[in-house]
Amino acid sequence: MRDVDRTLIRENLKLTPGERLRKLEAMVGSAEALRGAGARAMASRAEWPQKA
Amino acid sequence: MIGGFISILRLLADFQVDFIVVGGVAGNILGSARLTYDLDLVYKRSRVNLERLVRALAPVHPYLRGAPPGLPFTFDLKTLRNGLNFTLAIDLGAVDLLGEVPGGRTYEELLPHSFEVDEQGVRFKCVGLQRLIAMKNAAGRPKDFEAIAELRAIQEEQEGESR
Repeated sequence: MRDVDRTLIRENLKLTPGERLRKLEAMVGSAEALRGAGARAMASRAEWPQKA
Repeated sequence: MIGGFISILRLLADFQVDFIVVGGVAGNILGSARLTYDLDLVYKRSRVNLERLVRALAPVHPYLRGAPPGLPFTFDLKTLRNGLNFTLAIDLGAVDLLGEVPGGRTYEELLPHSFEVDEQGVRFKCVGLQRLIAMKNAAGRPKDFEAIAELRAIQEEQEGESR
C-alpha cells in the first residue's frame, strides 16, 4: 500500500464516523463551489477580446 | 444539488426505512479520504420497507439520474417491486438504491456485517470495512481497485493502533 497517502487516513481516523461524514459533505460542497468558479472563469475568458 | 448526504439519511431515518450505507460514503465513514458525490444504499426488499421508501422519497422528486427529462418514470411501489437497483437524482442529491450488490448481496446478508452510526440523532447502518473491501473486489472496476488499496491501508492503520 505504498501509493496510498496515509497522512489523510490518519487524520480521518482521529474523527468519529459522524465527523467523517460531515467532513465529506463539506468537501463535496467546496469542490462544487470551485467547479462553479472554474466554469464561470472559463466562460468570462471566452468573452475576452482576442489579441490581433 | 449534490452531496446532501446527511439530509437524505435523516429523511430515510425519519420514515424508518431499513437500509445500509455502502460505497464511497461508507468508505469515508470508515476513514477514506476519497471524494464521492452519490450515496449508495442497500435497502430491504420487504413490502413494508418499499412503502416507506416511496413515502420518504416521492416528495423529493426522484428521477433517473442522467436520463433525458420527460421520461415516464414514476417512483411508486410498483416501480420498486419491478426493479432492483435504481440510480436516482432527488432534490437533496444523488442516491443509488441497491436491492442487491456484488460481494455484499442483499440487505439481510449485509446486516451482520454492518454497524450503527449516530450522527446528531440521525441513526443509520453502515457496512463494515472488511465487507466493503469484499464488495469492491467483487465489483472489480478500475476505480474499485484504487479504493481497495486505501481501504486496506485503513485496515492496517487500525490494526497498528490496536497492537
